[in-house]
Amino acid sequence: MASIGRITARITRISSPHHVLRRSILQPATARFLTTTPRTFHSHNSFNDTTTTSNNNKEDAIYTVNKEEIAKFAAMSDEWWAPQGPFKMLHLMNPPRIRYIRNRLHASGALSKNGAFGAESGKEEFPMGRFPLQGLSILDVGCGGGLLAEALARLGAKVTGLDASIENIQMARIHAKKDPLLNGVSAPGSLEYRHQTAEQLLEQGNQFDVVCSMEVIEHVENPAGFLKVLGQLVKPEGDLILSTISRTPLSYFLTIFAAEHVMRMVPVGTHHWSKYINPDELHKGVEELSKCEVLNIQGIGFNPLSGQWELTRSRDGSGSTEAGLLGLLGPPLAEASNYFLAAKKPAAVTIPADGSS
Amino acid sequence: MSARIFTRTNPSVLKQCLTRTGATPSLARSAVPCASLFTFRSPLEAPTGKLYEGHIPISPLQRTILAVGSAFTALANPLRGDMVAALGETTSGIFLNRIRDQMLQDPEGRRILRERPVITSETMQLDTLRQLPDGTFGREYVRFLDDQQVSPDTREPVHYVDSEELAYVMQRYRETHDFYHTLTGLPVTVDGEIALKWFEMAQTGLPMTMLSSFFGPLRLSSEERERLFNVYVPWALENGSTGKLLMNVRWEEWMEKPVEDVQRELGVRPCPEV
Amino acid sequence: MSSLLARAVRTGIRSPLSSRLHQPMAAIRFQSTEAKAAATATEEYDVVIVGGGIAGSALACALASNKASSTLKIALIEAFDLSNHIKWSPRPDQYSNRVSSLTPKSVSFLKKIGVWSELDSSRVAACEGMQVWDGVSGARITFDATDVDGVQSSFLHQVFSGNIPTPPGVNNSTNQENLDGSKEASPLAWMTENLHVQYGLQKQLVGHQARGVKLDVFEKTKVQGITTEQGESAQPQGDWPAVQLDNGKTLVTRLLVGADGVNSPVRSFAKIESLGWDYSQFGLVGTLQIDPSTSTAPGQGKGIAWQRFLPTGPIAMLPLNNGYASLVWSTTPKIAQDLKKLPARDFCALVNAAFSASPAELEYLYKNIGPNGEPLVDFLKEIEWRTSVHDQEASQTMIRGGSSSQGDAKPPRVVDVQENSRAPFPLRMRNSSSYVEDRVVLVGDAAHTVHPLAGQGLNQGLADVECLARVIETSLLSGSDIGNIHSLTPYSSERFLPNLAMLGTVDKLSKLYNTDFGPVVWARSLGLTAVDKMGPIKNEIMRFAMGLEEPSKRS
Repeated sequence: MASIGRITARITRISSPHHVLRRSILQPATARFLTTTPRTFHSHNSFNDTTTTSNNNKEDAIYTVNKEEIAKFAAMSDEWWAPQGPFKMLHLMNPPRIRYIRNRLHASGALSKNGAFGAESGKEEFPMGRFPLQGLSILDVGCGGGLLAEALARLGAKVTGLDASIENIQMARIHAKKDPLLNGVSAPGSLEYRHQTAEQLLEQGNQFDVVCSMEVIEHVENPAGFLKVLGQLVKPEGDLILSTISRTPLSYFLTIFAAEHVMRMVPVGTHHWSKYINPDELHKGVEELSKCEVLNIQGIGFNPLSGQWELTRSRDGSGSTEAGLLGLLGPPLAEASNYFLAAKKPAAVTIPADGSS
Repeated sequence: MSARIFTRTNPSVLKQCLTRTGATPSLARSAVPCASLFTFRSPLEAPTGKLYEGHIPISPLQRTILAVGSAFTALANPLRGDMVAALGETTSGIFLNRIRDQMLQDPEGRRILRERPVITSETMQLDTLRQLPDGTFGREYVRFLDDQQVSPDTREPVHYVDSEELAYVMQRYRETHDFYHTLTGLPVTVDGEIALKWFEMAQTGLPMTMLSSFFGPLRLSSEERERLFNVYVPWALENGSTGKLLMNVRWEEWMEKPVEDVQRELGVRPCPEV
Repeated sequence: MSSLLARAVRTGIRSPLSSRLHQPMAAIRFQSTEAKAAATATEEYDVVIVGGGIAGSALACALASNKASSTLKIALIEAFDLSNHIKWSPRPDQYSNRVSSLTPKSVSFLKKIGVWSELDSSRVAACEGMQVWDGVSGARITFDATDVDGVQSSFLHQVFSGNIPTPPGVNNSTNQENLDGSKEASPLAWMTENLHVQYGLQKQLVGHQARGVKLDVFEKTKVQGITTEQGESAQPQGDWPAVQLDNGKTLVTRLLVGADGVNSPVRSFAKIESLGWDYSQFGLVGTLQIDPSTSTAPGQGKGIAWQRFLPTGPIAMLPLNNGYASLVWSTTPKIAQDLKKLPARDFCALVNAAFSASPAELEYLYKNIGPNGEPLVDFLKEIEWRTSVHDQEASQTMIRGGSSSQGDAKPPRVVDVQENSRAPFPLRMRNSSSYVEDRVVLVGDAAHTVHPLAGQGLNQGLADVECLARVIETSLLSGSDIGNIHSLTPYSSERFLPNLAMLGTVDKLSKLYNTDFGPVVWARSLGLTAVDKMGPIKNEIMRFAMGLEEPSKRS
């Protein structure tokens, strides 16, 4: 997800999103093979960022900052969330992501156990058709502006969004206020943002029914440690869903050559090809480090003809339920660039106290 | 087309032409043709019924051959009234429709179509017309006929138009031709006829008028051509297009009027004297 | 319908709590920046549909029938009375003059939302065939429902909807069922009155309300203004459109749907351009009583739609039940007004003539209608004379076995026209430059208007609605904000091209047949006659017009 450090500089370069409201639908999506969010970031050292304090009170977080700051974050938020703005590809990617998560949770049986996990007594019954994720607690590590978190909350989940960048958290909080469906009252979903690292959260003893981390692991300094922490954050019999980019010539071509150098959609240096992780490697890492059983790996690609991201066929043969051209692609071509991985934590896995696997 | 100025018609060539394609028409001046016999076509393909007296139904192929054949013949020998007539009938399909449609817009025209008056020497009562005072339309008309030594009966009958009403329109068109001469004062010379064709073209848009309008002058001497294009044609175009459509005129009722009155009412100036 | 509005930009800050307080004050348009309390009674909705016509009501119905979207809070605003529709009880000898043809695709949609079963089958007529011919040359093309291959989805539809097309002629033999599950050939279309469809829709809406769907219908209410806040984004619902009604309420909505007709105020609010032109034609509708025994078509022309292209515009007779038919005559504005004023007897004679006489003959009759609609000549006598001339020639030609134009089927004779059923309306073609904007979407006539010659207008609107309901359902299940433009883009992608294609085709047809210039007539007659003989192409045309396509595989 977007971990946007220095976005102020970029805002002056990019035109205001309000100007892009009127557009012709027939313009083909200018071939933005942008596969992940552009970001500049300050380095993460195993998420041990001690310079910022964890802040659980979202209301205070906004109102302790002065009005100019609010305006700045609000402008940032507008920029980030502008549907035709610089993060358009990310916005387009969100619905397939959500559908993937929903389908995987359904397939792994998480949805049928609604209500048994972290049930909030006193909440009224909400229709399952509209809120399939109600009763689940979900953690989004590296939530960025909150795109995935908001969608999950709208589907009824109790979502915690985590990001190490205070700007992201502020933006996400500001935007979340705009939709009454996310206020935790009118619908089963709720949203909470924390300016913390995953380790800090783990130290506080939290565990979640579902842990998601979308396109974060390829930016992390210590991916192995990251996987371990994620695995520990998942409750027993919970789900872990990751997405990242494969380390193949194709992914180099698309995400670095095309996106960074040719079309300049992403600042050079955002991605490091050497940090990409192949599906098999991730599979092994999840099994050994996160101690979760991998259930599914599925690719996702951008189809310029339809202007949408589309899921490809997955390894276990479960076809894409969407009628897209890319649904014809099967592994290994399907996983040559962006892909998802879904895993499930077995019941009651004991983790040795010393942290070694 | 006026068959009057030509002394006689020569049926033999036409007959040969059609016999080769299988039609055996009758070109007798009297109005009783015999039924056409088609020996080599299936009755289902070729039309066999007559729509009116004198009708000779022909197939599209025959029609084309006749059109081409008569065109060449008429051009070569404009005195061949039957060829000219055949050319007119085979080529004017759509445009006869147009004249008929124009007549349908006018109450007078409709009356003519409904009643279908025929102009023969009996119906016109030529003797009575001769008694009329000079300067009346009827008197001038008969004078014109007598000068040319023709009568309304020497019209070429219509053969090749496949609609009864359109055949009547064609017939009426031919029959009223003499009235046009009387009305406009054009002489019955070759260039006079051509000028009248231009006049008709401006009125009706008939293709055969166009054909003779464009190709006819080729046969004129340069002096005649000059006279034609400098004097007659501008007059013809101007009067033809602004005057009332002459096909809608019930000439029979205008016989006793003075010619000038008729000209004025129909919006046609007499042609300039040369 | 709704009056045109002016857009005002409010720069107020609304406290998140104030939206729930109902302050019954007069509605004001402008707020000072310091005001915190709401000055009007404001209500929150997820979807506000402006326009309770067939498209708007069908959308409300579709949303209320889908599993996820039935949990939305929906409002439907209509300037006229909607509850009256439920009380509709027509006489068997009277038919409203607003009749639409519903394609099989539209009917399957109506079945899906439960409206079709509410309809009275005695007032729905099936159209089994069509006879279309050129008024100048007589060239004819006939369509027969039994020739339609009901299984294969239309090739053209597949192309325009972006799916990978299967080549025409490839038969999917595993499924021989038609859209309605029956095995026999589906009719080309069904004809019924618009009021009838509204009756079904309103009944369904009431039923949905009764079972708990949060559907509020604001009938007899006009929209006075639509505004949106621009400015600080930190406000809840900051960019949600606010619809001010003339009863003092303001509805703030996540998604604003414009189903408000050709002069859509919602479209103006969204600053979407509407491009197109006015035809110099008016359409005259009317209800006719016909004598089926006078038709020479097989089966006495039951269920056959007749359309003749005159140079002034096409005249069409659409079959209804019990010896009634609906007339749609597109012609010049002056002629349309005159036709409305003609006495019934002469009008019927003229309609009969319009299906058989030459354009020149009709021209004469048009010219002879006086300023008050009185005929200046004896129409019946004139028409009778011309008919006798034609008939005589026809009989002679039949004898000689000549051209087959006289063997063509004739439409039934019109014997009477229903009183006060003749009404002219202007014809135009419009397409919006875009169907979606942030939090705004257009459906039906608000998005596009088409010439009625192909009977597609209402069907396009229903297809829009069906697509939008499906898109909203999908967005909901993806957790998206349904008003976000990315959630709405799939609707635009799916509907824009097909609508444009239909509009373009119909427009070109109307221009092609609007002339009697010789070469054009010849060329179009040649083309028409040729297509009439090409079965697969005719099949394709029929299927395109019927909207037959494979069911969408979207999740």
